[in-house]
Amino acid sequence: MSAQQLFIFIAIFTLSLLSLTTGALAYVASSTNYRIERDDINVGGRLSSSTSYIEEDTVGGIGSGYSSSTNFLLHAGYRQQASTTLSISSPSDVELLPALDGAVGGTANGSADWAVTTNNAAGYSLTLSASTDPALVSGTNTFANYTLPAAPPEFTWSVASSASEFGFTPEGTDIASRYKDDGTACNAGALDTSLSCWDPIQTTNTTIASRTTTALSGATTTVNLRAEIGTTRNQPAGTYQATLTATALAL
Amino acid sequence: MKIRMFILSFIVISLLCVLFLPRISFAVTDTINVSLTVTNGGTVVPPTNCNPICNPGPPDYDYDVLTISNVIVHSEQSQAEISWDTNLIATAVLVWGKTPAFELGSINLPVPGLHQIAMITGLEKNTLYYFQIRATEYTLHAVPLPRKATYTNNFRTPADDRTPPSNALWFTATYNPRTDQIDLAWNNPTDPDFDVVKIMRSTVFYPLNPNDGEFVYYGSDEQTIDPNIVGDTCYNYTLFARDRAGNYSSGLIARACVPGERKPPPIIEISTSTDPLIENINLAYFRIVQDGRITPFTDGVTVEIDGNRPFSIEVDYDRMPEILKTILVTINKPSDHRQSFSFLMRVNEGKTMYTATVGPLIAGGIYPVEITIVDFKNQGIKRLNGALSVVNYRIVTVPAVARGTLTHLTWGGTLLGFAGIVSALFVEVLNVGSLYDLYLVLMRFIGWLLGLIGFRKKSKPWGVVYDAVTKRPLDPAYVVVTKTSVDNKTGLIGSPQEVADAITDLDGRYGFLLPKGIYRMTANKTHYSFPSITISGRKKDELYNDLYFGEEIQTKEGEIISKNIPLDPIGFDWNEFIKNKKGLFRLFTRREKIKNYIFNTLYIIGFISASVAFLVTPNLFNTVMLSSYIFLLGLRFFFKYRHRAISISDTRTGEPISFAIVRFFLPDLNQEVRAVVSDERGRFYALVSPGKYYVTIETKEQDGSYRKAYQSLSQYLERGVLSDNIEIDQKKVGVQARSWI
Repeated sequence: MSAQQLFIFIAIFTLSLLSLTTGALAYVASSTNYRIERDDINVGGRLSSSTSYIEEDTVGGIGSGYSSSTNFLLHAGYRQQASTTLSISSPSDVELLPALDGAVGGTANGSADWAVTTNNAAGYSLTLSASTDPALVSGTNTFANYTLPAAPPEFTWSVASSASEFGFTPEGTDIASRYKDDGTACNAGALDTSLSCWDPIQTTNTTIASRTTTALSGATTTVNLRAEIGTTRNQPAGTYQATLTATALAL
Repeated sequence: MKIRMFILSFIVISLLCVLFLPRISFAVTDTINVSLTVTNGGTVVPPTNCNPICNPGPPDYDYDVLTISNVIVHSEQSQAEISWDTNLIATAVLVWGKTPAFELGSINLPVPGLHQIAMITGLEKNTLYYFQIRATEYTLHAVPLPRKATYTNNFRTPADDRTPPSNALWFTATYNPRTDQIDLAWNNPTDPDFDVVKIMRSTVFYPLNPNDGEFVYYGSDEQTIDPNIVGDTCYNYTLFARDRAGNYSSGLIARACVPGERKPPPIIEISTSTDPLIENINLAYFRIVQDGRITPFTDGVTVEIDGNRPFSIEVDYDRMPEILKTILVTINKPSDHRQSFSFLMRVNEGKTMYTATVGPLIAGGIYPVEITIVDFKNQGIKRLNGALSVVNYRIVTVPAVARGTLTHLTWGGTLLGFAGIVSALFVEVLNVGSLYDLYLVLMRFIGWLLGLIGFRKKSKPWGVVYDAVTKRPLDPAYVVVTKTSVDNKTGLIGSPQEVADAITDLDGRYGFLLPKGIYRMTANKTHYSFPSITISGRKKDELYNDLYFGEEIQTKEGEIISKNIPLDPIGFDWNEFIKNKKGLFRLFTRREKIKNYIFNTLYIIGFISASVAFLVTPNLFNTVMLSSYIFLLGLRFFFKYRHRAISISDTRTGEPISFAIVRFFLPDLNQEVRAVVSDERGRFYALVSPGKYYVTIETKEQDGSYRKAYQSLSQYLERGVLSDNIEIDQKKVGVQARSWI
């Protein structure tokens, strides 16, 4: 390769990198205080709102609208170029019930519903994580994370009589295949048998649901939580807490 | 060219960028708090501040301090009583179920205490139940973490048990004038499901069932008192043992009379004229049943039973007359016939027989048994007498004449005889001179056994370990082969590793077949040293070639180590031996006489004991023992006549010629085929193939050398052994010759 050819190659390489950079990061104007993602020249528009809604509108756009085929999606026009939206509901804190007697043992349950709404045509994924390991703690006392006999989640909740453990199972239309079952085992089949396929909540993100299409009306995933004190376990008294984080990710 | 390159570069770089450049995504999150309240008796520890870092919680308490002990479960078919102790005052919860989840229920015991009892009801029979005691320390002031303890176990409710338990043993009732009470004592039965005993009394007759008469005692102790007595009265007590299923034994009886001043106790007149049907009853009607084995009582015969197992005495119902009667059985102690216990026989549920079960009698001996049938109708009585021979093993019958002393003889005598057999075999057949020799002999025996069953390859004897002075083969001697490893890289010599060992046989022989290599051997025997100094450096001596003195041996692949190993005797001097020959011979003779006397005595005692034991108790053990004695007797005769030792002696003095070398030659070839050395008393035994031989004898001179002093004429040995002793005139110079007869 001659020096001239090398120069051409580097130039093309640089040009290619620049041209292929994701457009999501593009903006048309900026200052130290703002960035304008996009602008439009039309004849009018306004922002209006009430207690129930907020509306933005523009008028005068030419050739605007949505169109698509199997190979493309076209958002033509200023309004149609609105960016991908992704939101997640914020359920209330959960108190596992009933309260358990540490000497007698027992099982306490609770649940939280997370609804993910997105117009992202590629869909979303929902992950769950805990802030501590193990997740459910009270001072120095803890519930162990739910233990699994093998890699897949355990179809039926089971805790040794000498242990105390905390785990979860997701339910919903978009749950990950790991939590689907065939009626007897997890990570198999397409069923979503109620209160089956239990997993520990770890500090690393565990994908509990996902879809590859939009979820314009919100896709709800219910996270069932359970804590159990074994019958021979002498669990110290206290208020045990876990901080769980659900993360919706646009795909 | 430039255009093509431009297009190509664009495509490649575009693909790379699409594949590897990071995709920019975005996400939203939501965080919730999950809480769970865990209590301990209502006490809740407030949550610690965990934002951002959890503060240390309250210190852990030592939960092991509270302990649960003495857990006792009394289980019946439909209920179970569980009691336990705690080392600290505690409340408790008892949970139970058919699974370890204790799913069936719980009993709360809120009253604090050191001893708790809970009764579980509504149980199913023959069912396994799990239970758990959860004790919590009781404190006046609430503490966040009171001490706790749990105890988990299970029990099975009894099945539909209709089998009565064994009777208790050794029930006595004794009037105590000092306390003016009747002392009652007994031994509870050892049945696993035994629960309690119930004692009833009557002044008329022995209570015949647990509800007959006056109540005296109910519990699991083994003694009690009866204070409610009046003078001038006799009390008949019956003790019924009860199992957990509620079955009662037939009843153990005892009688005590309280003296009175008003009138003497009535004398019960017992008539011997009973109902003819009762009169005809004999001991053969009764049988002893133990572990399913039925042994009938017959007159004059003692039934032998296992002292470690319960047994029943039975008689068919239809062999007893249908009149009002009671059957009592009294068993006396073998050591003191005045001590006894009596029990009632009771008709069984199916009305097929009268029966009573007795617990293990344990102590061996002959127990006289008296069966008494009381005829209420005629106020008569029928007595039958037999005996039980209680031993610790199988049930067999023995003649009644063989009692007491014979039983005691069996074990002691047989064991003595066994010791006699073992010692006689070892000392007569083997050359055991020390414990180490005994160990070697045992190891050789084990090796022989392994070879016999194929686990150890038997090897041919190739070399001989022998006495360097007397030339006698040494048995047993321990030969060890070691190999010194050399590092191929450094050339350093490692420490020697033991690679093989052998114990010489009766003729001092051993052999090794080892892989190619360099080895050393050592030979060990008590009172001998290795290597030999006496004949050090010699390649052969008068009897053995290829001598070994501890040097390295280099073997080729498949080569056999067959060197002869001389050992020097420690404390043996040939010159001294020659000088004190007469005295030593006398000593040898005396030792041998003592030895023979001891072992013959042991043999006779053992043989007699084994014979008696076999006659009294012809079980497998005694049969084997007696057979061993007969075998040993046969062995002695066999050795005496087939392995007869030949003596070499001096014609003039009659003294034995010690350590002479006797060689057998084929006359046609003058080929030596066998050589042996006579022992200190001039005796030798040699077995050769039947054929024609001549024998030479080389006597050991005072200076340790050998002189050929004798050569026989050629003679045909039909059995391969010499038959006559040999006499040599040691003063005569030259070789003497004689023919055999």
